[in-house]
Amino acid sequence: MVLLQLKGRGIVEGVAMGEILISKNTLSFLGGIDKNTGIVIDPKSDLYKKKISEKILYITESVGSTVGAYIIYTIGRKGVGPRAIICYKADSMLVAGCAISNIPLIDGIRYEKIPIFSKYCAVNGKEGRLLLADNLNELVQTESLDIKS
Amino acid sequence: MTYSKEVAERIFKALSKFYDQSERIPISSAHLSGVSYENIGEEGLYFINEILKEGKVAVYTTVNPMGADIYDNIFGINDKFLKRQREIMDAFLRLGVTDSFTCAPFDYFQIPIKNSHVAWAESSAAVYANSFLGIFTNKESALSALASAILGETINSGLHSQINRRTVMKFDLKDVRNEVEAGIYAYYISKLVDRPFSVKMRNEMDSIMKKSFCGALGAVGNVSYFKTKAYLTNEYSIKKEDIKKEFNELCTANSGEIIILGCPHWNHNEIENFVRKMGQRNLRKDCLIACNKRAQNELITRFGKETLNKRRIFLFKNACPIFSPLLKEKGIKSIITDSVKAAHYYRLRNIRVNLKPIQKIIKEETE
Repeated sequence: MVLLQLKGRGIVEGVAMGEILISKNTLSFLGGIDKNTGIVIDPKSDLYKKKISEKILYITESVGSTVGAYIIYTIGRKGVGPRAIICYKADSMLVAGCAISNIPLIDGIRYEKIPIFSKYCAVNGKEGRLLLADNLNELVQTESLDIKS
Repeated sequence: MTYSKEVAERIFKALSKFYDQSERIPISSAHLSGVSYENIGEEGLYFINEILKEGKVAVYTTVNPMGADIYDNIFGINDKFLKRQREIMDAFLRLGVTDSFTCAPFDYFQIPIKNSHVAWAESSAAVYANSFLGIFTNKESALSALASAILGETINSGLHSQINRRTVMKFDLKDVRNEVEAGIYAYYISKLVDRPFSVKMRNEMDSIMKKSFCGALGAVGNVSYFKTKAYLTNEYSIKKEDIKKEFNELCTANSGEIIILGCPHWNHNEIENFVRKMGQRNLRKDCLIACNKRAQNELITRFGKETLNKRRIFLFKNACPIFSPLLKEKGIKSIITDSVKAAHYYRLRNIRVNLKPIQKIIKEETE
């Protein structure tokens, strides 16, 4: 069992836990995601054909206009959105999109900081903390003591 | 608390953390973007229908143009689009916004008191407000302006603070002779600056030149304020060949299939001037002028609608031809315009542009 805690900047409050999906690229929600399924449809993305639904999504940066915020909202309402988003550099679109959709958002986490073993993640959007683990049970136990407290 | 207020609070809370500034200040007006169905699509409509169900704006609020002239669909934009656009319009009107649908809200609508703070989302209008109206605004996004309109306040950051309105560079605009040149200079300057600047002009710009300058500056870059009275010495001289290069990048055709004017929206005086300059000549091509519905009312009393249409002038009311399915539906691949902002967006949409000032349009496109 391996466990690591990272601290970024909490932007949208909320707690979430789940499998982490990591991209070392930027992601455009407008045109990059199928809004009915939550599947990444941008062939240039390293998450191409992967489903972001119910995942803790890591991206380096978000790109795009206000419409991107509406897409985050739509996938959230359709139940195919991510549980939380972590990134290195947020923009006002991503901030507003997560805010209207109640999706916890943390920025300031560099891609290199995320250890290779990371499979699961717990997020505290208020404090900007995340906990990474290779094992879900361990994370659940630690999270109940730590992240939610 | 209503759902719309709750969502607005959530947007503010997140943006406050993002900008690291929690202080809020009251605003005297808001201007909303994200109104065209072409722009926001089904997802935007979905959001708007939910959030705007029972909310009300807290301050005087104007809104951006729509994607079609829903009053007079002479260009035959498809019914599905019109239906969706009307839904968006109704949702905004229910919210209590003024029936404005213009990107130049300073023409027919209440101008905020000088030195007051506002939250305006349309980029060209935000630049105009800061630089020519003496009011304070950031270039808001559709969602931050919406949150501001609902809460009646904005986050005290960026251009709301005097310290961020200081200028460091000065540009000499003495060679600017028409609206195309005004736009090209702004377009070029926007790539050089990352904070407010000053300009020196030989003569005062006319109203279309002012709009053109603000439109081009707002379309690219992030600087939404310039001073027209310059005391700085740190003057940057713009080379004519650089301006020529910018122009050549934007002007990609020798002519076009249709003439598109009114970007940003023209008022009735500007349209009247254009018609008067045409004299007895008629346009050889259809000319669409984007404007507010109120401009038409004024113009009808002067010219009559048929007279304008006979001369091939058609008003695109409360609408924006750029964020519209118009050209796509008509299969139009090239246009003539005097707007650098329009040229910039049409280039992104693979439409070829013949960029030239009104004077040249009248000379070359009338008979």
